[in-house]
Amino acid sequence: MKWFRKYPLLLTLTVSGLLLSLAGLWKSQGGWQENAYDVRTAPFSALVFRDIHDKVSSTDIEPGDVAATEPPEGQELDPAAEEERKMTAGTGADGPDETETAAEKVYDFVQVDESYFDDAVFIGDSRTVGLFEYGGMEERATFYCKTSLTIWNVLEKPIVQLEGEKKPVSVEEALSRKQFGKVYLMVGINELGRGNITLFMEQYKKVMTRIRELQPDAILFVEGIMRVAGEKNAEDPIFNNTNINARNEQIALLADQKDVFYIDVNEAVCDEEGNLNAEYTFDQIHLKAAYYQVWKQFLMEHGVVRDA
Amino acid sequence: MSNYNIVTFSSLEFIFRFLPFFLTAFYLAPSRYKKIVLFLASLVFYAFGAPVFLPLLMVLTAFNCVLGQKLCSHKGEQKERRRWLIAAVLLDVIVLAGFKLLSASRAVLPDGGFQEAAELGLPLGISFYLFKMLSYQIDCYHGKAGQHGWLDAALYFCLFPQLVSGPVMRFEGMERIRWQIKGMQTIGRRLENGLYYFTIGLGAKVLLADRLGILWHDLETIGFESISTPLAWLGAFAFSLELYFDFAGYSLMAAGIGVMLGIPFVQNFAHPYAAGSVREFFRRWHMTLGSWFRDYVYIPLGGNRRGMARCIVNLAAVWILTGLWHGGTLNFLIWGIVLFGFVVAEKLFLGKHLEKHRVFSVCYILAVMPVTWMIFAITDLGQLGIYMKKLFPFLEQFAGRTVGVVNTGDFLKYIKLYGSVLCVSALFCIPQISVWLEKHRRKPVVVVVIALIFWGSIYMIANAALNPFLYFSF
Repeated sequence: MKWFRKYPLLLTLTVSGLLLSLAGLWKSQGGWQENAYDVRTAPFSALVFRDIHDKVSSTDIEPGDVAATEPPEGQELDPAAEEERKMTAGTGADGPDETETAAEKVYDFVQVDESYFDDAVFIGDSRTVGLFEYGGMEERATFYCKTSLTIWNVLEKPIVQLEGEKKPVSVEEALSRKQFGKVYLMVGINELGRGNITLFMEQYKKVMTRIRELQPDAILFVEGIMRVAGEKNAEDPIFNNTNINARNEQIALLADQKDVFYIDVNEAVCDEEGNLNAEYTFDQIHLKAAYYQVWKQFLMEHGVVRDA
Repeated sequence: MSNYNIVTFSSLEFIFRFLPFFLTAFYLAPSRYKKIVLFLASLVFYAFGAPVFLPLLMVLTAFNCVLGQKLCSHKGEQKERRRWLIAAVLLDVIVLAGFKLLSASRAVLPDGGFQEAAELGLPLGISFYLFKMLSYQIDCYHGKAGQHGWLDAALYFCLFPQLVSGPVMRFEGMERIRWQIKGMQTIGRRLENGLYYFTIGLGAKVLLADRLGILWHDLETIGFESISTPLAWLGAFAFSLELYFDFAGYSLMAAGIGVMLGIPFVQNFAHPYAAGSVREFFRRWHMTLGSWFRDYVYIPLGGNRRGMARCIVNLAAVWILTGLWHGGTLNFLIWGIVLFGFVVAEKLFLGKHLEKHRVFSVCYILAVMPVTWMIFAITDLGQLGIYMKKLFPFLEQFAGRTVGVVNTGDFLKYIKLYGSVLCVSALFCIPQISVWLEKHRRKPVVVVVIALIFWGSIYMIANAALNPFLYFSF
C-alpha cells in the first residue's frame, strides 16, 4: 500500500501491462502468429486489443476476416460455395423461364430523366453515401448505404432507418417490405484486402440471388467498383486499380442484359490511364462533392426501359 | 528501417520497444556514462526516423560544438569573438533558410539534383535543432552557457525527446539535469511523474487530436467549395482543437520522457484558448518558440524600448519570421502578417477593451483563432480564398460566387459524428480541469482513469497498426 501511494500510476500501468502481456502471450500461442504481428514492433498486449476490436465489430468483418486470416479454411468453404453457385445458376436459368416473353428480350441503355430514379434504391458504401449527400437525388431515390459496407454484411447490417421504426433494420428486411423498380448496387472496395476474388464473387452472387428473391420485378444494376486515383493506385498494394478491375470483370459477367445490367461509372470519372481523375478527388478514393453530378449524369445515360 | 516507426512517440515501437530498452540502459549505466548513453540513443533514434539526414545532423552538431567551444573559451578580443558568433549564426541560418527554400520550391524546381533533394522533404527536426544551435551560440557569446564540454553541447542539440518537434529548451536546462540517481526511489519518482505527463499527452494526441483530424480530412474530401457555412465554422473549430491537442500532446509526451531522464519539466503550452488576447494566446502557445523569438530577435532589435514606431517594426520582424519558420509557402507569411496586425491593434487600442470585458475577449479569441488557423492550415491560396468565402458568405459579393454542390444540412451529420469528441476537447481547454486532474492525480479513481486513457490510446494505436486493412473504411 505504501508503494502504491508513492507510485500509483507506475504500479497500475506495470501490473495491468503485465496482465495484458500474459493474455497476449497466451493469444499468440493460439494461431495468431500467422497474422501481421511482429514482436520487434509491438507488445504482446497489442494482440489482446486486436482481439477485443475484432469481437466488438465481429458482425462487420466475420466472413471476410476468416477468409483473409485463415486461408486454409477458405477451402473448407468450397463445398458450400459450390452449392451456392448451383443455386445462383439455377435462378439464372429458371427465373427468366417463368416470364418467357420478357425474358427473351435484350435491352440497351437509353437516356432517361431524373424521374427515372423515383422508384430506385441505391445500395452501397461511402461512395454511395456521397451520391446520396451530393448527387441531388435524395428527394427522389431511396438510399440504403453506409460507410464501410461490404458484400459480406450488405444484407444483414442494420443500416436502414424506416419510418415508424425505432431501430434501424437490415437491407434485407427493408427490401422485403417495399418493392422497387430498380436496384443499384456498388460495394467491393472495402473488402479488397480480404478474401480472394472467388470468395468475393460467391458472396456477390449469393447477395444478388437474395435481392432477386426479394425484388422479383426490379431491374438490377450491378455497378463496377469506382477506381482510385493514380497516386493511390501506384502506392497501395491492396487498394489499387488492378485489384478493382479484376473484381469488376467478374461482376460484369453477372449481367444478362435482360434484368441484370452492369454499369461502370469509371467510364465517366476516370482519365485516359484509367485512374480516377485526380481533379475529381482529394483523398484519391472519393469524389469531391461537386463531381457526384458526373456520376448522376452517367446514371441518366444508362437507364433501361423495359416494355410494359 | 523506415518500417520501424520509432520517432513517433505515439507508436507501439516507441512506447513498448525503444523507450523501455533505452530507460533500462540509461538507469543501469554508471552516472559518468549516462550522457554518452543518452547521446548514442538519440543518434539511433534519429537514424531510425531519417537515416538520410543523420549525416547532416552530425555535421551541424560537430560544427556548432567547435564554434561554441571557441565562443565560450576564447578570452581574446571582443571583435574576434564577434566574428566567431557571426560565422556560427550565418552557418545555421543559411542551412535552415536553404532547406526551407528548397522544400518550399519543390513544385517549381527543374528535374535534377535539387529536385531530388527537395523530394526528400525538410530534414527531420531541422527547424527545432537549428534553433537550439542558434540560441546556444548566442548564449555562449553572452557568457550564459557556463562551463561545459563538447558532449554537453552535442547532447543538447540531439536530445531525442526534443529532437523531432521540440520543445526548444535552452542550454541552461542542461545544467539542471541531475545525472546522479540516488537509489530506486529516484527512478520510481521520475517514472511516476514522467508517465503521468506522457499519458496525458498521449491521450490528447491519440484520443482527441487524431479523431478531430478525421473531421478535417472529411472536409477536404468533400471539397471546400461544397461545404455549408456552419460546417466551415465547425471545421475551423475542429482544426483549432486538433492542432492544439496534437502539438500540446506531443510536447507533454516529450516533457514526460524528459522528466523520466531527470530533465526539468519544459512547459510549452499553458491553456492558450483561455487567453484574452492574441498576444496572450501566443504567450501560452508553443511557449519555447515564442520566448526564443522574444529573446533572440525582438529584444536584440530593441524590443519596446525605442518608441512605438520601432516597437511595431520589431514586432513585424518577429511575426514575419514566425510565419516563415512554420512553412515556406505564401499562406504562412500571410498568417504571420495577419497575427502581427492583431497584435499591433491590441497594443494600440484593442487591448484595453479586451481587458475590461471578459465576455468580449472570450468571443474575440474564439473567432480570431479559428480563422487565423485556417490561413495556417490551407497552403493553397485559391482554396484558402474559397474557405474564407465559406466562413464569411458576404465576401462572395465582392470576390465572386463559389461553384459547388452544398448540402445545407451537412453540419448536422458531423455534429452527430464528432460532437462528443468536440465537447471533450473543448472541456480540456479549460485550465481548471487539468489543474484539478494534476492535483488529484494520486487518488485511486483518477489513477484508474489515467490508466484507462493510457490503454485506450494503446487500443487505438494497436488496431491501426495491426489491422492494416481494417482501418480503411470507405
